[in-house]
Amino acid sequence: MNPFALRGPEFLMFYFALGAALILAMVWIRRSRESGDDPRIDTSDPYRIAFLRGGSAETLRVAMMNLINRGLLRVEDDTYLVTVSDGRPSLIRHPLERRILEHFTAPAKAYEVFTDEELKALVGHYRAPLENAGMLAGPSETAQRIRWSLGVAIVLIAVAAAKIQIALAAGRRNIGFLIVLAVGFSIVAMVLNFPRRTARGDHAVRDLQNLFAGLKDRSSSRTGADAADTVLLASIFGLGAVPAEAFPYRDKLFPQAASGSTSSCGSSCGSSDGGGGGGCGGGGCGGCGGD
Amino acid sequence: MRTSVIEAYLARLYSEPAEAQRFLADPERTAIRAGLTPPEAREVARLDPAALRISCRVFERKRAWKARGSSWWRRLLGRA
Amino acid sequence: MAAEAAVAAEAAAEAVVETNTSDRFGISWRPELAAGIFENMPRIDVLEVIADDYFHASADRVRSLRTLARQIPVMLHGVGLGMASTAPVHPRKLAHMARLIDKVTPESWSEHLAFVRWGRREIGHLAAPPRNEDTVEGTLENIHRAVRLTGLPPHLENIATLLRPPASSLDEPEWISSILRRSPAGLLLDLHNLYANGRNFGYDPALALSRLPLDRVTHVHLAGGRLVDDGLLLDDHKHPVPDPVYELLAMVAARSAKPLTVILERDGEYPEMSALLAELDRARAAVAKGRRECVPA
Repeated sequence: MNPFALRGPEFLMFYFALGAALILAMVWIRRSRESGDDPRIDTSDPYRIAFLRGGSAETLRVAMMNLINRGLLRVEDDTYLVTVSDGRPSLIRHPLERRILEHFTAPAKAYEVFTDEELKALVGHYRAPLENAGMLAGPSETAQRIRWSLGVAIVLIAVAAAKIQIALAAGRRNIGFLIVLAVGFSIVAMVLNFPRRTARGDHAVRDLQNLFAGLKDRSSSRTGADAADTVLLASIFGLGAVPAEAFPYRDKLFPQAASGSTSSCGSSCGSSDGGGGGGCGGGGCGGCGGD
Repeated sequence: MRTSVIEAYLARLYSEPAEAQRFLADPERTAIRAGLTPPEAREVARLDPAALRISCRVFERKRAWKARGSSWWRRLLGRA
Repeated sequence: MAAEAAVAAEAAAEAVVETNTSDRFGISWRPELAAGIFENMPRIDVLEVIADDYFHASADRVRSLRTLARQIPVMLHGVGLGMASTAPVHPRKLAHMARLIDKVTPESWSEHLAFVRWGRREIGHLAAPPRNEDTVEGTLENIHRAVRLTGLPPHLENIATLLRPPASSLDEPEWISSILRRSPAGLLLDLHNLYANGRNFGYDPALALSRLPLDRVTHVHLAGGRLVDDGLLLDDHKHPVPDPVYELLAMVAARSAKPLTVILERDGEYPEMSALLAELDRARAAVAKGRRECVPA
């Protein structure tokens, strides 16, 4: 069967199927190439996890939340942040936290940290190690992705161009839909093939969310969770997963993050068939009850 | 003594609170009514009542916990 | 069947002796403890994961478990197969276990010497079967089914029970020894279970320990429980390990030349991680003490 001999509507259907198949194949191949070995779980620096999951702004939000929870930053008028006078930034070892405390020596709005060049550079230090670990797309992955996206776009445009030429030669002018499809698929090929994280990075985030699902369950069932657990929770699942009791300023300071950055694990986490815990010995082999 | 029959009855005793209640009230006769021979029933009747009560509570709570943890379709199919 | 089992037992008993080179100390993995476990990885040598929690898990969750197993030795621990019974082990659950072993490639796997169901009737927890020749035979057949499907002999754990199982002609050490003598399985020795049974039925757990085949012990469980009605000790895994259990651990270390993997179990009312790590340190000290007093059996 010669697809170029197909009539207009049939050819459009063929072209749609071809475009979808090529894009799916491209995404599948990219994910396979970028998945690598099982990622290593490292929770020693929660901000690295926040950076992997949500990028620079998210990392800064998590860090500010952590400093507020530890009493080193104070919230004024539900909008402004100010470093607590006896917080003594110089005693804080983490460079990111120290710089945030310096930034808020004078009261300022929380979102202003996003434009602090020094903070941007500090957060940016997380990128290279994560790229080297194959979790964020680095220059080599990006170059590879560009090649694949261009390849797919060229094939799609070439097929469309050939058909358009045939149509014009036959005196038909109804080529608008085909042009729209060709341009649309080319854009989709570009957009879909450039996520921030690699498949390996996605695995790492999902592994963390699966393994730490209990942290989320526990935080929702108790108040006064300690700062270490809360920062890990926010880093892994996003600020939306931190209960308001553990961070009362969540909605006021970071309304978008609070509503939109919850777990991406859907039904896969927290749906354990007895993942342990609970009041009855969980899925373990200890007895329960007795009174 | 048929071990498999005794095992089957123990499983019933541990998983069916009503049967456990009947058994605690009249052990031997309840076991015979459940199909055990008189020697088997005598053997099972030696179970310590206090320990049986606690064990049944433990088993019941575990079953309840597992049912809570299982997905809705499993519960629907009675496979929790 | 018995002769065939004995030959297989001898061959596989060699296989079950792990390549461990030294004693190791770990903790049972619970999602609630994940943060504390990761923060203290250098002080935790191994993790034990409840396998049944993953039997119906998504591929994504199983992959996460595999990721964990790549990072720290993981042992899978079953609670629902029902190995010790005249009834065949649950085929679907056994298939789940085999698949999980295949996907996660744990260091080893274990189950309990317990029955948990009869037919479609689920007890919900571990129950002691009659301890007699019939259940020895049934258990042996179940072990061989499990080995055939998983390719690995399990470690079998002695359970705690409040009830003296009726129709028993063997006491617990005799019954366990009969099973292990004729099977490839190792003994996962739960010292709190042994202690609780000794206390509940009025015998000396140290004496019972001396009658167990300690040459088959490579894995040990520690836990704590609490007293309930009538002074019975319930093994609920929610309390610190009592002193006598550490003494039993030292005895095991003194009488066994093999490297031991000691797992601290906790199933609820989780304390601060530092308290659990302190219990692990006490276990280390007990094993070291036992090793110094080594008295080969």
